[in-house]
Amino acid sequence: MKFLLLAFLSLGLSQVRDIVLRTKEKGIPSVGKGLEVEALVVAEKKDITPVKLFIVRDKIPFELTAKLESEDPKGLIYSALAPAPVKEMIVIAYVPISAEKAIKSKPLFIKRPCVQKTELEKEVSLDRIPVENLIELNEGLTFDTELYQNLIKQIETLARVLDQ
Amino acid sequence: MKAALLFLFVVLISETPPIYVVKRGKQLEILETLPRKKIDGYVEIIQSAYGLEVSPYRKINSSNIQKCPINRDLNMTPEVYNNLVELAKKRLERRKLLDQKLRLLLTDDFIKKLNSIERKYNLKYPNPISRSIDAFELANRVAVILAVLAN
Repeated sequence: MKFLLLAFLSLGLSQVRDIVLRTKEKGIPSVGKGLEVEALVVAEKKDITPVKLFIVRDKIPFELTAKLESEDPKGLIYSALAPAPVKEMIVIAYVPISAEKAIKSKPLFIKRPCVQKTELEKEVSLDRIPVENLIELNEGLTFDTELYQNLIKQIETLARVLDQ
Repeated sequence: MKAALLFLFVVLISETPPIYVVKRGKQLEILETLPRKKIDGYVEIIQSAYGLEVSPYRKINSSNIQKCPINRDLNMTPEVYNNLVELAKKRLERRKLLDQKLRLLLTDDFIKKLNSIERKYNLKYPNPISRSIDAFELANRVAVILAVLAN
């Protein structure tokens, strides 16, 4: 009897048939900016919760919960904003069906064709600096300035939220 | 009874096992089951979908992705060169001021809150956030914190 109950319970929770992942935009936004990841959940039910995204971003793993965005003829579309990686990111969507089991998507691999920058520009002497280095320095400093401005805005927002 | 058992069997085999992210050399791989033996090139389990294992953080330098090329298509006259030097000086000053502003925002209490969020969401880095953290690293860590809080 217990088995039967368990079987019915499992059937009720495993109404998800398939999960397909994709990114909304074709390109990869600059580092740290929102990259919208969509999970198309093919299911019998109209609302599956939670749909989780397991992400390994530049080797740091974390999880996000995707929100139901819309209904598609093929299934339900869930989405979440993940910070764009410096180099690469792996995303797997899954729906937990018990404490140890889940229905999952195939992994989505996101890899930049080239890396913009991985560290701040070093201070160098500008005295008789070669032209190539000067151009590179200016490009790098523009990137650094944008990074600082965005970071300060984000920290001010975070500080307000955390103070509440 | 036979039908019920068959039904249970179908349900059990249709369930998907947990997933594991495994690092083999420089590549990350997704495995359905954990390898029983330590195989060649197998380094460590990064994490299961349920947060059973966590990898140490490594600074990004192992990947083979090339640096993006910089557009050097400039008609370089002495005047353009001097202007670029001046621009670089101003940008260095501006960056210094922005860095000072950033450090002022990083109060002890705020840093404590950020580290507590990272612990709560199991985000593992070799060092906790401190006032002297590199801005590039902080930007990356704040981006992840914002994502986990927003979702």
